[in-house]
Amino acid sequence: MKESNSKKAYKLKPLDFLIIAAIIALSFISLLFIPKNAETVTVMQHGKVLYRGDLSTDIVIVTPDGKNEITIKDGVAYMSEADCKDKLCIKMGAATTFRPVTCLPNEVIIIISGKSDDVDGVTFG
Amino acid sequence: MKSNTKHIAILGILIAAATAVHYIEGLLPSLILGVPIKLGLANIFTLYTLIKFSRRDALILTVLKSILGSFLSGAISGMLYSLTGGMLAFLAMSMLLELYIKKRISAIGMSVCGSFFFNLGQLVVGSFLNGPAMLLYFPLMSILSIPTGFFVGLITTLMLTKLPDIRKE
Repeated sequence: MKESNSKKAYKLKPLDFLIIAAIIALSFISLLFIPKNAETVTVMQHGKVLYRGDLSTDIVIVTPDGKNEITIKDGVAYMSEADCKDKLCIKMGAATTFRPVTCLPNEVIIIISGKSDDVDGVTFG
Repeated sequence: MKSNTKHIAILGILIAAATAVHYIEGLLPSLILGVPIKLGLANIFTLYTLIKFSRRDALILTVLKSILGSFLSGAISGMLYSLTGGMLAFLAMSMLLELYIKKRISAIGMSVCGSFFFNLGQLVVGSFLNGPAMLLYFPLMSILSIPTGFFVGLITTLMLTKLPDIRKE
């Protein structure tokens, strides 16, 4: 009796599937809002733009507040140096449109967007 | 619950366990598929307390776990993330509690929903601190909340079925 009860607890109910389906749908719908033509790199700190330029321009940017070094080379942008504890931003590798590279301790973010794309225009419901 | 002292003691144990798990999770490399996302293992205790005890107890646990966890790890800025995420997850899961009692939904479904709102809360705080571009993480975070929520829900179900009923003894 007890055994069958505990097995029943693992059984998914229709509402469970509804929740999972809704989250999957939301994930894919939100993908549509993400710009695809990756051309512009924007480096921001504390919500302010530090640098904005073409992805094809090779440059090394050092942030003034909390030391982070961002390298843009051969069409990829990545965090090459950081003084934060976890170095998560360096491990994240190159930034892509749907996966910006962030350094949360120093509030630095590398964003890849379309050419005339204004980052402040990216909103989701 | 007859004995008030016992209730407080059990809640204390659950809060201590949740805080410990919260802290240990912070020590693990928080990178899944290159995205800084947390498993939200401490949500196990929120969900367990919600189902076994009450909304009030689960709320106390959620708030204390975030505050104590942040003090333990020394990352006070992390408190904003975990408190917002935890509160949203708690609100979402407590709204589903009625459906759970009526057996219309399982603990796994509740947990997936909670995990989604936990991640959403973190994202909202992140976008306030780092600008709206943080919202570009939304699709990945949203889809990853399904496996993480599923895992948390599975452990909670395990606790609910295998642990002796602490309210009865």
